[in-house]
Amino acid sequence: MNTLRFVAAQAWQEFRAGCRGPLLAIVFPGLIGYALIVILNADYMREMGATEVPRNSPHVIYLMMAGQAVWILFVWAWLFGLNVVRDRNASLHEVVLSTPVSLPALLFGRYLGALVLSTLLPVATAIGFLLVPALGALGIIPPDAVGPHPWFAMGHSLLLFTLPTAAGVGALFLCAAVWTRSVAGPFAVAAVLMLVWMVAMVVIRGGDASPAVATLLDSSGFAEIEEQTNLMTPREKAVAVVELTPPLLANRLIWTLPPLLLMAIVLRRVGRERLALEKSPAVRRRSAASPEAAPGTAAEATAPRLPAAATSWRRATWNEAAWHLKLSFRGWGTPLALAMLVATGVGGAFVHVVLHADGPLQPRSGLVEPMITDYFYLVVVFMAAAFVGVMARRDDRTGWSEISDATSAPVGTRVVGRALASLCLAFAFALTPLLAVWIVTALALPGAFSLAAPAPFFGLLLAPALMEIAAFVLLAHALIRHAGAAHAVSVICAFIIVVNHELAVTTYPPAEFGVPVHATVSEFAGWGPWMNHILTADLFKLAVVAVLLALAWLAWPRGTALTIPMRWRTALGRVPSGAGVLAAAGVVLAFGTHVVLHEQFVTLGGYQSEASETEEDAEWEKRWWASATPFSTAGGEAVVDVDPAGRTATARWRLAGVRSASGLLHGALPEGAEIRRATVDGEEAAVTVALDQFSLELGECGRRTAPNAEESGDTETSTSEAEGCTVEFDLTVRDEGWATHGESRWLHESGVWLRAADVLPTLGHDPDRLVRAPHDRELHGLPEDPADAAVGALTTAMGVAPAGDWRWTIRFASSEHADPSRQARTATAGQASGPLDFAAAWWPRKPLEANVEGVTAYHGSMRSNDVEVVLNDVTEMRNCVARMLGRAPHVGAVLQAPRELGGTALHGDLLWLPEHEGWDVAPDGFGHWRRRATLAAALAARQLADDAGLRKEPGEDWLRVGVPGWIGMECVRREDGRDAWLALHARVSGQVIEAFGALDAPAVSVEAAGDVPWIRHYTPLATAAWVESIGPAEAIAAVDNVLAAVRAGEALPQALAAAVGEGDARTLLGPPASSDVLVTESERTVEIAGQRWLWRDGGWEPLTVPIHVTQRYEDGSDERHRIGPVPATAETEAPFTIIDAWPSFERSPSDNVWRGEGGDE
Amino acid sequence: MPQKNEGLEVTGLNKTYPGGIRALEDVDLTVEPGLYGLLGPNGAGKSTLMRTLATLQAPDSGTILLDGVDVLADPDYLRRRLGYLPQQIGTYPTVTGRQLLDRFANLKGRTNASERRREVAGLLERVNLSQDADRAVATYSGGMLRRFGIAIALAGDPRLLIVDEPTSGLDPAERSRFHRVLADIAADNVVLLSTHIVDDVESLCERLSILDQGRIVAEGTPASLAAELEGRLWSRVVPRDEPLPEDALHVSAKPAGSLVVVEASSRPDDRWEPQTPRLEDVYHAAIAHGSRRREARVA
Repeated sequence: MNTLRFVAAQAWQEFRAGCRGPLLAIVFPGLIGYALIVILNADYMREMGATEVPRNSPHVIYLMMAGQAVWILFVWAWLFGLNVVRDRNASLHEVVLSTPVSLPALLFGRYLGALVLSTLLPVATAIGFLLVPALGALGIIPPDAVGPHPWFAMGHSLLLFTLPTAAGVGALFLCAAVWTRSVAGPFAVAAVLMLVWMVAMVVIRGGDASPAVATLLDSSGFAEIEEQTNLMTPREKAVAVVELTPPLLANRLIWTLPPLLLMAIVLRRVGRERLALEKSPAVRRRSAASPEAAPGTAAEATAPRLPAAATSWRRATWNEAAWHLKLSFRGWGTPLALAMLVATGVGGAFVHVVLHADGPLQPRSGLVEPMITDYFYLVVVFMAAAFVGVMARRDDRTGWSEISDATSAPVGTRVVGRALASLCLAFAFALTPLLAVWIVTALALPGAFSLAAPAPFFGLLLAPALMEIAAFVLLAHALIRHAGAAHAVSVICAFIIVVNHELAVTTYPPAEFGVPVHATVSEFAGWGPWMNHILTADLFKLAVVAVLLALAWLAWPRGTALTIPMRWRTALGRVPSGAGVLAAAGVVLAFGTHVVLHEQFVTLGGYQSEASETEEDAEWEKRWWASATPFSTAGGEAVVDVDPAGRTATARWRLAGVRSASGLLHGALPEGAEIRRATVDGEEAAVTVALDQFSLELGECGRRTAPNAEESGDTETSTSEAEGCTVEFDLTVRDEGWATHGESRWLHESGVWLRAADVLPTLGHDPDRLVRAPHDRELHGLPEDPADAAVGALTTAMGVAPAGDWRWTIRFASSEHADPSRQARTATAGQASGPLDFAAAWWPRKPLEANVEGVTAYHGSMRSNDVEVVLNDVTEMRNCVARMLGRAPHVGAVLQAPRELGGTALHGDLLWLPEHEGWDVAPDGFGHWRRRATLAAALAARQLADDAGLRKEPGEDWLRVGVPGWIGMECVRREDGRDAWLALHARVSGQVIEAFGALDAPAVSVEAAGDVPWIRHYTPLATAAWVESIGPAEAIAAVDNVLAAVRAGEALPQALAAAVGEGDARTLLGPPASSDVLVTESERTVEIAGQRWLWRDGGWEPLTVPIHVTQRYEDGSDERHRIGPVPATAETEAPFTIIDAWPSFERSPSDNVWRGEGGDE
Repeated sequence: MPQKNEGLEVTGLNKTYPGGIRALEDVDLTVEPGLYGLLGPNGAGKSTLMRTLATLQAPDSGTILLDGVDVLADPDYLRRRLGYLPQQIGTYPTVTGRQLLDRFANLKGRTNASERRREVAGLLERVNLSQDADRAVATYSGGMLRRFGIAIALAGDPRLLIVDEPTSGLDPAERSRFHRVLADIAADNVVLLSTHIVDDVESLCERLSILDQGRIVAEGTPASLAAELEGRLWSRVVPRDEPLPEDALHVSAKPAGSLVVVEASSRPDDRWEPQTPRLEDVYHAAIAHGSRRREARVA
């Protein structure tokens, strides 16, 4: 037989051996099943950017095929490891190695067989996607979600990603197997590759450090695919072909050729002796004092037997656990892995926290823990699965399992011993990030270093989740006798858990298996609001762990030649033992805790799945939208009594001069609110409540002088109270239940953070509840587009009630648990002449206060060093807004609000500044500029919304978000310079591009968009570009005209058209537009080029119109020069910036600048 | 004198694997304290019987009593008194001999730490591994691994010791040492030795059974079994160019050809010499008789 035929024969045999094993039978259906889960889950597809594109879109195929290489690494490690280990496992290695065959040819043939198998495994995912048309035909997925078979993408990704990756890493696995003569080597290499992948994806790419370097380091190619597809529009995704960019080409070459070369060297040099021999002896020196040393052993060896002490199986169990745990940390493997994990964690934390794209941030407790947990999660999940798997299989060697089974130790001792060790291991992995937190905090912010503060986060949130995974892995190994199959099931499970963690496929917390409990810890509230929630959720997880371990105990195989009926009988026989008790205790505890969790999350907390939320919104639209009628009030008074200990607030809200064309007053109730009583002109009135919306019968008083809103839109306060009804609501609001995903609570005995919308109904109909996605509208039987509603019927854009003469008072009851003398609160009364909006806070212990220029900041001790900078920012930005608009709202106080509890906004005269937006950034750098822009935008938004009496009418986003956003950026430009402005512009541009890559619903126009992510980023940039065309002063004048017109009742689109012209108004409120100006230096002149696009049918369509741009010199003046049409040249007199003077967002602002002679444009 | 019910008593043990292979067929054994040998060719069912006696697999029918206790109903009773060494043991990674022995002593009920340490040290000494106790087990040679397995089997002071091919791979000195260990243990306990090395059984065991194709084909003391063949065995060296007789009990190579032993009531011819029965002859004769009986049953 010639060498070629021999190699082919070996490859064929290896392939057949791989096919015969259970691995294929598990992984293949597993992958097909996973693909189906992905296809059937619209939310998941949305998370992958598959909105407005078929679910079998080519870009999804690319992402899935390359992305799975990360977890399938461990399956590949097994397959390639068997190239070397298979003979040894059958004790045939000496026989095989003594045959007169070429060892390199033998191993290479097997490598090829494993390579074919490894390449075919991921094809299962593609097969899953071939079922999409059938699912469409069966009506399981909507017809418009079915695209043509992505044959090219499948073949392309197979050849470009799967095959080269398998060839390269397979070569590394083979080398590792040769070196270690076991599968431990390939598994170690897989772990390292995964760690490298994590660094590439999370640290380098996630930290926006260098996409090219991330691409180079990522063995799967996933980073590059994500990089390319993230920037694609839906239309591009539907026909996506991943481009072989230079970094991708380099990546493919790096991950294929050097490993193959290494394998060639190893195969050429490997000798039979290396594969045949056992390890050489290595004597461990032991000290005489070693506890293991038995003094006088020789004498005792022949001594008569001592009477044996009574056996304690409990002690034996602990000994067994300690033995397994000790072995897991023996040698260099585990400590090295943990050290690498900590080292990369520290690096990741620096990139993600200290050098965050929106930073630099200050790594304080509360910020750094969740970030580092996210960073570590992927790796520790797989590590836990791998280490527990190894522990479960430790006795799985010739003869040893029989010896173990024949010992007198009860199965419980062996299983529970392993289980305890697994749980300890999971706990140790969970605490690994804590080391990284300590190191990062000690280095970057020594003042915030705390040994104790970060520990609960990992011990209480991450550890129970990892314990669930460890218990599941132990169960998998108990149930599945074949080690490879059990490892494969464990890894697939780990992968699904990671996907669920990343994409939140399951959102009901008890169902989030292996996912940490969600909690958001803030400086003031601390752990107080979370402890009941966390402890109950942890108990539930531990109950699940107990059930899984009990099942593992029941299923643990003992003996040989076991059949399924025998194992079943054995399991039943073990039920009366500790396993049954553990299972029963676990089930009872799980049931009991789940009852509590369900009550807290669903009954009290109002948890709904996304599908249920959409369904309820659809019902709301059907039930209430048609009844939207204009209404107005003259003002009134709200008195709110808050009982922090009881987590209850009661409100009496008197509305004066209430008028409604239909005689009905509508509004949306806050979460947990109940209308106890409502009166109209002193008489009790009927209130209908459904789907969190109420309708109050006003009777004739409401129609007495009803405004003709369609004609005049008059909702002003000038009307006297006598012209409408006097309405009084008595409400009770309970902030009960637990937040499913860590949203901070506003009402707790550890602090109250109250905004008007938390305690008072929001009057009118809220268009943000309308179902926007066409598919959802069709699914729920809604018309293609919602009917137009009168502007006067809609809710106020920023407040709970339209402009009026308002007064409000808040009274906080003393908490029994807090010393009255130490309690504190912000201002508890106020009045407003605009829309009703206010906020207040209460603390059981006084916060720190600081005052700059009459503005008081309430803050925690950890922010003492930042408060002055924050107050200066507030003052400077307020002054800037005042300079630009000619007025600015009064700011009485600044509040350090809890993390993730709302956004930066001015409620009344209290500036609400949550920790994550205002109190984490360092005093200098991009994050600081971003905070200043956010502050200016918040102040401007309040001013504009109040001036206009703005409702949530079509196009209001432009006035509420777009114009303030531009003002915020412009203030940063004026105060901090062009580079600061440019950095902000570039960051927001990137966010716009990302938002268009992950649309939840089709982007039709700004006017019809509603509250969607792209609006928040797009409208400020489009407004800024429009301002460039006319100049800031003219722009402000136009805005003032719009404000006046809207306040007078004119619809915003018409008011805008009148103020800025039909063309600009159409572009500002119409479909999204983008442009890309390029400034390049050419000898003595500067070349200016440009391109424009318009968003149509899910993609950017290039426009072929003459493009005029604006040139702005950096001389401090507002002077602009119009240049065009481009391409054009500009003189190199002084540094300048070019902006396309057209309402659109600039794709890459950094190349719009000429920095002057010698500058680094 | 052994008390009534002392020892191991196996009655009517049957085991058929799912593939239809009948591994044990009405096996009856009575094993009193002392060393008991179990001889049989490969595939005879020895390992199945050993594993069944070690509670590693369940028989289809039959009973197993240890000191009068039904261990199929109460397997833990046997496990608490069992030392078991399977036919093959592989290497065990990342752990020293002392640590591994300590772990198994713990699993065998030696949960008192100081007592366990003393026992581990004694066992290592007993199997001549004291000097290598702190070496990784993965570095042990085949012979050392067998000795180490024996030490594990002896941990916990077993009442019943089941050892499957324990001396294969041991050099003569170690083998002799091991024989002494077994003999020492057998003084008070039941030791079941499964092997195909007839010399081991001949020199150690008071009684033995011969197992073939799942059935006990002979049972008794070496002397009594040999006595049954007294005057019935004949041997001669058959030259290489001469065909071997078809009814040969067993054939062994000699410098001049093959030493053939046949069973016959009288001398076949003058070239044959009377053969004093040895256990090896008994073994082959029992296998041959068993075969003939089976053929007769089939016919």
